[in-house]
Amino acid sequence: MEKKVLFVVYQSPVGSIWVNEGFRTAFGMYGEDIEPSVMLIDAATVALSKDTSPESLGLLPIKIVQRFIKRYETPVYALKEDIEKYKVKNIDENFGAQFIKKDNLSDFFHQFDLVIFM
Amino acid sequence: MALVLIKYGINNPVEKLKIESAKDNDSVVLIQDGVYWNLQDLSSLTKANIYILKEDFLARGYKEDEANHKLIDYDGFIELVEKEEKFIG
Amino acid sequence: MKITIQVMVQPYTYQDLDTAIKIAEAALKKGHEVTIFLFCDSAIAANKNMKPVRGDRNISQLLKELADKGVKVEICGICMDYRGITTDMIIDGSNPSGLPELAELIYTSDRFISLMA
Repeated sequence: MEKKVLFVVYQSPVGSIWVNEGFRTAFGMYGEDIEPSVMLIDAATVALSKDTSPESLGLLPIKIVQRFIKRYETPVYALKEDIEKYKVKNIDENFGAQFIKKDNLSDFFHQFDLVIFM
Repeated sequence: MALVLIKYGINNPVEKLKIESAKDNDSVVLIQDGVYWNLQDLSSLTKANIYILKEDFLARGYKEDEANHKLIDYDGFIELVEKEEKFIG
Repeated sequence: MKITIQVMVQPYTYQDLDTAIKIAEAALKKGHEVTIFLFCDSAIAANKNMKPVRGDRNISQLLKELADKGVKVEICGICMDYRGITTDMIIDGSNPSGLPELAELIYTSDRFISLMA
């Protein structure tokens, strides 16, 4: 039976590795009968901006994950209220992010077998 | 239904979100600095069953009679792991 | 039951390895099959060369004792590489591993416990 796993990242995409690790881990799940998804909340939502560039500081870029999102059709979610809280503009459509409202988060989390915060 | 594991303290917005997301029949377990959530009125955030890892609570200087939720040891924690099929943490 | 415990942050700075070891001990005592998966900075917990001051616990030794009792200790290989940890440095009974193994653990475990970063 397929397992549904949600990887939730909350730390900033610049200055921490967790957005990269969240996606890398999700992509690593496809060898098994697992349906992985990635959710960005709190400061991690900043990753969705076209203007966010950890590579400008010599850090690992984030946009490299986009071709794998496309290849595997990995669902990406972001918390709507946090997009607003962090004033995330110029959202990069290559992430294909769907926005979840805070009120729906409880039901959303409970759709998954595992919700792993990173 | 789900074991919800809380390990960071009361100023962590993500832990608040996890507690608020817990449903009535979930088990929320406060471990490590998560035990500080005992100082908050959690009934306003969730109707889930809440447990505190006794060892982590006592190690932070609190007494058993200060616990507003059921204190469990690691054996009790494993019983919750056995019971709850899903995991949020 | 097959139970996997994932750790993400480093030993000594934080309590996560201590928590994971105690969960593993309790699960083992109840007859469960236990794996600890060391991810990101927690990979350094398997370094057998660590030398804590006298009176403090030796986390890699505690992990080895768990491995001796049958707990599987898997370490993310790329996380080891990033931190300069080579296979000759890790405790006996632990194994360099990777995301395919983590995926298999997630899929085959009855319960998966993760200590968030």
